[in-house]
Amino acid sequence: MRWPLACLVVAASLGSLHAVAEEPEVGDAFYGAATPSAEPPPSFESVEQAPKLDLYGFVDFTYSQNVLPSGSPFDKIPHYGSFSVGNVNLYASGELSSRFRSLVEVRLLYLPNGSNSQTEPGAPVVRSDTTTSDYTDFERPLRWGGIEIERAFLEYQANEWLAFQLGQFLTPYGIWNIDHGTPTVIGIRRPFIIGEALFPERQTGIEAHGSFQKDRTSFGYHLTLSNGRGPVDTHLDLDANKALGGRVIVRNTSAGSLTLGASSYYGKYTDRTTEYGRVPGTEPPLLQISDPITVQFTELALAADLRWEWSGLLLQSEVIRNERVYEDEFRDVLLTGKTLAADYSRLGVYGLVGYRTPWFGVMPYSIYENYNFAGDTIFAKASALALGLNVRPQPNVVFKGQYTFALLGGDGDARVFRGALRRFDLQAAWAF
Amino acid sequence: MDRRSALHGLLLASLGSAAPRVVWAETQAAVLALVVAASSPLRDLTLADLRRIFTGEPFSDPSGTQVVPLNHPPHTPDRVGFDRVVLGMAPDAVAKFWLDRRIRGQSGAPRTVDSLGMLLKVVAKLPGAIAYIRPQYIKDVSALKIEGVPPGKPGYRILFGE
Repeated sequence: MRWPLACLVVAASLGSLHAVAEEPEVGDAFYGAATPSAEPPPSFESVEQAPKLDLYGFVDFTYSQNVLPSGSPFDKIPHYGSFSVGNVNLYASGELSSRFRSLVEVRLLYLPNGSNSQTEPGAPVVRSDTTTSDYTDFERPLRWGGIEIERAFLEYQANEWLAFQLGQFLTPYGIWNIDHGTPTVIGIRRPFIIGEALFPERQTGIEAHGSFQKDRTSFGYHLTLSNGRGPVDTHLDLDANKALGGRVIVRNTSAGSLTLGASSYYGKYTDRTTEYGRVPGTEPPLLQISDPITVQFTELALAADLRWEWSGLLLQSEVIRNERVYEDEFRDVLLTGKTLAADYSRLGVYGLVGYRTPWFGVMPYSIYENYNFAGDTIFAKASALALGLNVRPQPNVVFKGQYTFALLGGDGDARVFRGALRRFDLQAAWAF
Repeated sequence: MDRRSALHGLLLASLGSAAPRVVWAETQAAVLALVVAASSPLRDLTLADLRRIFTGEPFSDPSGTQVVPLNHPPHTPDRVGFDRVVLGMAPDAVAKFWLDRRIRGQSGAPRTVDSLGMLLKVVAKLPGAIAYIRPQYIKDVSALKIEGVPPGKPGYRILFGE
């Protein structure tokens, strides 16, 4: 396999090395007689050892302004318009062979600097400060940030019916979580039901997927087996139950491209603490380590999605439901510190309609969403309407403007987080 | 066929010569043959299969070998024509399609090969390789039927106006 692979790499990297015997008839440099290269072509062995890493990514830059009516309960949210660099995501993709592929995506963060944290319910909110001294610059202050691993997996393509991803992957559900990057998604902010992670955004484990085609219709599936959701699910499963998930997709291209999907996730969340003690009756004492459960619940998430693209028209919608059932002994303690969480189900939906005009890639769009926050004692039921423009003058550059009006709660709602929220966002997102 | 040759053909055609009429016909509809190694078990593909192969979906030949598509460089006439006919996309739409796929974490675009000579070598040697070229340049590789029709025959669908 070394020779054919090297052959392919040479082809991809060297360009026109061989003259064509025939006179060029086509106005295409591809068919033209190439100028013999002054340098000899590298050997296949040397090319095979050459780096085959593909580095790319995307960035977004946003200006956000909350427009709050006087007396709004959201006056704790910063009122001042702010510029921010939100996502700086880097991908490293490697084709290891025709069947193996590796992908790592990381997000570079300014966080945790500036993030607010609360050590326990009722305690004051503390802003994280990562300021340290820079030894390369006379110990002047420097604020360090972090890295979030978005995904890291090895993919093996057995055939068109079956491929495996091993590692950390984005949960294959719906549309928004798969589109993922700001140049690709239409709106500026994730809908509530995506941001609230009714499905885990990503999982660590194994994913199998595949597809097949029949005429103008293709069928696809995803199956996942993972640690599930947990406090340290990237590397530790704190219970014996692995989470299971799946997705089926049907796509038809008879009238534009119509895609219907259904997804599910079932898993158990467990958190534990660690306690040290003495094994009873031992002398000299023997250390006993135990890890009693502190929180445990099972959750079932179900989702359906639809996407229809026809000429410039785009219709997109997702509906997601998440049901959480606690083990009675291990319920969450709510922010008040005195109340235990009840079982609940959360339900939300969003719909997006947009039309990509032929002029400079301008797409006016509107997003409506509704989310019930599961009868949360703090947040009232929310609905929001956003109107925006998505302008894609070239494939790798997108400009967006969006005005969002959100309303939490209604007449008679007693929850503390209720009222209207208006927000204006401008964003530039680009891929490189 | 460059623009000057096309004009030349048109001029000759208008003067009543039989042979130049053929040249003019070729100018109007460029045929692209799908080629594989002579030893490949692939003989025929549907247009849907072809679309699947060249949009990054996995596809295996009858022997189970993964099919490896190879493209012409972007914006070359045959690449633009192939993308329009097979994928149904203009160059900007193609660029957007591949960019969005990469951001989603899916596989990227087929590798491009810059010259006919190298393309023919790779297709002949690399198991599963498939590419498109003008039929007159076929050498040491096999041309596939598309929907049961060989390149250039009536009903062959991989052709585009220049």
